[in-house]
Amino acid sequence: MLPWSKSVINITLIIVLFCQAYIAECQNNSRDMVLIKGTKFKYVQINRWREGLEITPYQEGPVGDSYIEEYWVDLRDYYIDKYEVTNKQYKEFLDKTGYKPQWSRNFLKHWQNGTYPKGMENHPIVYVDYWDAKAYADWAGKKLPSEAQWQFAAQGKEYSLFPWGNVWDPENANVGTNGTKPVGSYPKGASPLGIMDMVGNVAEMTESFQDDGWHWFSYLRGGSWFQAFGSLWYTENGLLTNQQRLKYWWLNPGYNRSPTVGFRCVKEAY
Amino acid sequence: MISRNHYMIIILILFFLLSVSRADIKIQALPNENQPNKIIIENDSLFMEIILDWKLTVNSLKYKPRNIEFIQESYPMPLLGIENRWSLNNVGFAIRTAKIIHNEKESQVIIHAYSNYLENPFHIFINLVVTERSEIDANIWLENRHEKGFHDMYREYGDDAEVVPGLPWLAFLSPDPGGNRIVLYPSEGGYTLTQINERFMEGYRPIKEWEQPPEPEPVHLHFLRRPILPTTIVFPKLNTGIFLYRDKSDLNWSFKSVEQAFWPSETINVAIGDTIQIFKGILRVFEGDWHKAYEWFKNRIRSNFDFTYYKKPGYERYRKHFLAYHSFIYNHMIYDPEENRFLPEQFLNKAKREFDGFDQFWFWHSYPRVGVDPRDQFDLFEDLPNGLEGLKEFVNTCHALGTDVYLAYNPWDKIRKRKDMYQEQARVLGVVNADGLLLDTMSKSDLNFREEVDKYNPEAQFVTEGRPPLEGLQFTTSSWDHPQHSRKMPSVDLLRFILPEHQVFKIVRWDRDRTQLIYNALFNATGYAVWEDIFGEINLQSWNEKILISRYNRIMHDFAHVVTTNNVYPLLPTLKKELSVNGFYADSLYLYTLYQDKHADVSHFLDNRIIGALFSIDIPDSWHMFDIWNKRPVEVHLQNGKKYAYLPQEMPEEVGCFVSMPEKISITHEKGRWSAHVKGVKDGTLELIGIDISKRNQNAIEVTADSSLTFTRDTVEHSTDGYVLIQYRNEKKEVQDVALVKVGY
Repeated sequence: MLPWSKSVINITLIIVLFCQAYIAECQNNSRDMVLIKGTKFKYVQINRWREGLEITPYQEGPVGDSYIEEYWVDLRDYYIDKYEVTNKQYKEFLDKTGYKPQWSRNFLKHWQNGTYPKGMENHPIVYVDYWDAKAYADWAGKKLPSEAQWQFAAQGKEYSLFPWGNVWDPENANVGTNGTKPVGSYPKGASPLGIMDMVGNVAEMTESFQDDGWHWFSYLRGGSWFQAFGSLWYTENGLLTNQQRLKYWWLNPGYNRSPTVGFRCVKEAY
Repeated sequence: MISRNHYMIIILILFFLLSVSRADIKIQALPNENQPNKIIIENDSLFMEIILDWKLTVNSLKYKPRNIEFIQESYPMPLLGIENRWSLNNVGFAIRTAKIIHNEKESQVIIHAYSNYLENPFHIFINLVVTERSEIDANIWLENRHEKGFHDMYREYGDDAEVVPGLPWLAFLSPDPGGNRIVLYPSEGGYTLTQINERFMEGYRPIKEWEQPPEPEPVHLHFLRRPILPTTIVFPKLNTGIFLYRDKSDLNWSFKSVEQAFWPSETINVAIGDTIQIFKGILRVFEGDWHKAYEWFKNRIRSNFDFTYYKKPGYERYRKHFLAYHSFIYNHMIYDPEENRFLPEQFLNKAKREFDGFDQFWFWHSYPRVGVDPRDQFDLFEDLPNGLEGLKEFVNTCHALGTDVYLAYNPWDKIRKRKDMYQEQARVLGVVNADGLLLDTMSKSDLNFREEVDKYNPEAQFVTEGRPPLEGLQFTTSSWDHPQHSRKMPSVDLLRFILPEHQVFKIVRWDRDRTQLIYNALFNATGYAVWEDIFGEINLQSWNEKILISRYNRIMHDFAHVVTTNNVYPLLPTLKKELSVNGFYADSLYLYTLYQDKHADVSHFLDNRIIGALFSIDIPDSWHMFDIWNKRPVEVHLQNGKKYAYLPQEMPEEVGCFVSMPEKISITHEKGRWSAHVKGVKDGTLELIGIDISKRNQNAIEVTADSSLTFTRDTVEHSTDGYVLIQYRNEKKEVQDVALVKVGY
């Protein structure tokens, strides 16, 4: 072997490995993801009392009656999207995969001519249902977060009502406005782990899909820009704390795709 | 708003109608109207002495013609008491004035009570009006006269001490707060005085002054009502009683027992400046059977009632709807998510098998989903599979299967701030061809809504969640009834008997065991709503209940022409103390529903068995009688010149349903073959019903009336007693006669 050939091979190997790492990084979008080290934390979950849950003790909460469940959760290392998935990202997914849902009612209802409105590229994707979100996550090599993953990303190890602390500040989240805003518009609202828009902007789907034998449902977290006022009968919306969850009853695609519901993804890091 | 434990008003209302003439009325406030401590009302027939301090008690009530003193000497009867929640005695309510007014046509006294304590903003007014009619008009209302200013804040003292926001602390009304907390309720042979549990309110103390006065808080109001016939108090040994007609109240007068009536609470927000109606109505003393007083009030109500909406074309068909289904359309029995389509045929065919079919399907789509985004209930209709067109297909399929569809309307859903809620709901109803609206959380509607709906479907019906007030009943033709007393048997639904035109659907959605509710629907011959998916919480009717509902459903439909007449009478006199009977009468068919307090044992040593002569009946000799619920024969016995329904055996179930009519079906029996034939008619059909009336569709053998229905023991599925039921229907499909044949053992 020539004396210089060993160096060439080594350099080539280094370049190849670097390229592979770069490609993997790009594929994972992990430059927009935050690594969260696994830990054990006390998971506190606030459920709104829905008629029928009589066997569970409940207490009066700020929005209707609620009851609280607590237990310890072991989380393993994972990445989570720093931002909610955007229109631009979702269009890239469509362009590359040609994804079309089986039933298209309200699918990307706010788009026109196959693309998002001008200036909305960094707004979170909405008008997608659970299966549309799953399709994106599969393509991106990711998953929807579990509720525990989502909540830990929002609050960190210490219990807090909101990502930034325990005192509500409307300057920190997009709640009670007229629509979505570009992701990351509220830097002061970042979680202790640097995750953005965990409260407000869009309610985020989680990997909590359940079939109870009669219905399909899953839980949304974080509330959204939309706040319904005027009746306690409205479901949780708008301002939700880190611990509150919204039981989202899945019906037909037209119902399921909503202007206030989006998602972000996670990826295992172990 | 604070929790319901903070305020409580307990009011017992017992008023007595005076049979007096205008000229004889004497009303006195002693020593004067500005500082009253006693009011005397006297006429030829009655003497009443009311003591006023910080409560109202009747010290004496005499019915002069019969020299009856209703009040026991040491137990003055509380009319209305006010309990304060402070340790200080001088801060509670007090009777301030008693103004007496004599007009040309009436005399009245207006009693005004309020607290001298600044924190208590509530003023109570009691207005008793006596006219030349033999009745008293009573009107009681409560006003919140909260004023801005400095106020003391109190806290609860104890282990769980916490600052409780909001004041004032008072508004505890009870029958006799200062004394032994005695209330009156009727019992056999007179009335009984029972002590209410003590309530301890010590331990409150001021901790802080607040610059801004807190917002007024809800008050809790408690009323007394007789469980079986809640608006009547009967003193059987005195052969007299009191009938109370409640015309208007902001309170829900629903108690399943006297005991429950004392403490169940109802929270009402009374905003500053607002007034709530505690009671408005009429009271009357009567002699003899209480049915006379009841009839008097029934006629009074009906004579002033506008039946326009009950006489509209098509209403007769709606009135004969008895079984409704409250849906939650997210349920996969109704919606198939994998195929993205509704399943009306599959669902209703299953319901036919299990319940003998639903008359109405209540389409519930919004709560608890609405509110997650700006789409309101009407937008959500549009986003259903195939939008409104898809919903129309759903409705049409239901129609083809004999089921009407009612759409839920949520008045509280104002996300879109629409000003055209009524118009929009009416439009949707019209577009999808729905049959009515289920008015969520509404005990009443208003005429504007009704008129909007009329533009699209004048035959559409309203079903309110709560019981409408009298004026609302005029254009609200059906309603839910889901107060607690519905499941307590034998409760009688007076509205059902006063206005038989108005259909009432019995609902108790949370109970695991709804047997009593089904019995209640049968006993009152009202509607029943199956509710198995309560916004996602599954509470299925058990198989036993489904069988009961099927039996109830068939009887209601088979005899709808009887139970929907205005000839209906609650609680007929019976010879058995633990037997309750309601009567329903058509021209040539009488139907009686029965409820017995069923004994655990079958024993001849029990002297109160429901057996033998039960209740008087007035039927021609040619009529016969059967219990079609239990499939047992009922005999007619003559005693002391009167005919009685007579049971040779006890009813096996808690309820029964007797029918009596002219005998039209003749039965012949020869060598193990029975043959049924209808005498003298050519139209109609004969049908034979086997062991379970719910299975009639599988087992019924129908022949035309001019043919004979022939069967053997082996060709019919008979009841456990060996009986089969044969029914004859006329050309209108109305059952005109039944016969029981014993073919088994």
